[in-house]
Amino acid sequence: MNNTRARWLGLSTLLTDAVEHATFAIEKIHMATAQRPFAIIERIPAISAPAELVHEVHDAIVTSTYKQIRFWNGAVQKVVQLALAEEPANAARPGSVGRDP
Amino acid sequence: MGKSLETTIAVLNGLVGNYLARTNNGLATEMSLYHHEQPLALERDALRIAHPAPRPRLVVFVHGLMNTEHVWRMPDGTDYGSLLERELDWTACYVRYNTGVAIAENGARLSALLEALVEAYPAPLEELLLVGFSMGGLVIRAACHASAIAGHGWRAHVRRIVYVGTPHLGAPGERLGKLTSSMLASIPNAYTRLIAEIVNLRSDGIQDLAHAVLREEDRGVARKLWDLRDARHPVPFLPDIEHHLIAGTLFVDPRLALLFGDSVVHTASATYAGQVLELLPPERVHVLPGLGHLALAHHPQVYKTLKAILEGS
Repeated sequence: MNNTRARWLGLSTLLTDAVEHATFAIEKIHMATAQRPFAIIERIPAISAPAELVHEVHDAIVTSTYKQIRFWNGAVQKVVQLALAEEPANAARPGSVGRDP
Repeated sequence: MGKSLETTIAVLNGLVGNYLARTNNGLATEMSLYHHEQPLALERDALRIAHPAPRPRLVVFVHGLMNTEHVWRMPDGTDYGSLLERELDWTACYVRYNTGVAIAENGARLSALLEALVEAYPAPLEELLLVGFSMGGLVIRAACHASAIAGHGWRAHVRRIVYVGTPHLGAPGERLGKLTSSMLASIPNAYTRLIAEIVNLRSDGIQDLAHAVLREEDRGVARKLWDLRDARHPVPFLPDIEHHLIAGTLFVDPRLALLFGDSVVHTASATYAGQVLELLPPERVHVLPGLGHLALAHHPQVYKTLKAILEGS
């Protein structure tokens, strides 16, 4: 793989990883933020049961939304990899010393 | 465009280079000598083509964090290496590397590179001079340490090492980063913890700068946060080599100079706090007032000092 192609592939991998990590981090914050009002509402006896149901539905929708983003993010990365990886990826550049395995 | 792209990739390597290397990302810079923007193979023929008249005295330049070899270039297109070639009959080589990787690891790679270079050098080698800017100086020190472990012979050719703006005793900026991230992480709040996680994404190379960590076993060892005058470094200067320290100070006023150093590296850190007099007598410690950190890599005054050091022997 030539240097330019390796770099494009590297950039796409980096962006994919960034989106992946960012969605996990945002999902964590999203859940933590939503937890507070739900925790309060669920303590009110009159609406506790429906609130718990809404909470579960909310969590399921949030989780599935972030999963969808990660799925499509991964799919785009696969397409880019296929488009760019025409040659074996491990050709070392001349004069280079060492590389992490 | 080429230079801007390489500089952008160098900055990216400095920020998250250890991650790029670990994931075998194509953006990770592999350590190599560079000649006219291209990696130079460590083979006799390739070296002979790049340097048709190799001199017996060879100088190798090692850049700093988030830099490439472009950092050495002065506005008129010359650099310390080309001037040394022209005026003092040296041959100059430039290293480019991933500055986000741990300094110890880069040291081991530099040691291997220098070993290969010395073996392939197409002329009898009289002296190998190493010049390191900022983090580059620490990588050179780590390479000296690594060469002893690996049994490399290149060090026998080294008589002098010149450190330019090198934070020998660590960098307060990175210590502040460490303090900030630990404070943010200790607050029981999802948002501050996220910010702490983002701050902690900075590379191993950056984190090593806090206390000038040169060995893998010293990484993660708790140290004092603010004392820049503690010269008890676990990897001391090698006694059989002449070490020359060049430091800049942003301000000419001595009190401000003491406070701000060269804006990135504290003067006490760049001059090893003047605490190892037997290895660093005053004539080997050069403080240049009015020079900021980055300017140290390409300033006529620094070249003048470098030239005086080399002519002084």
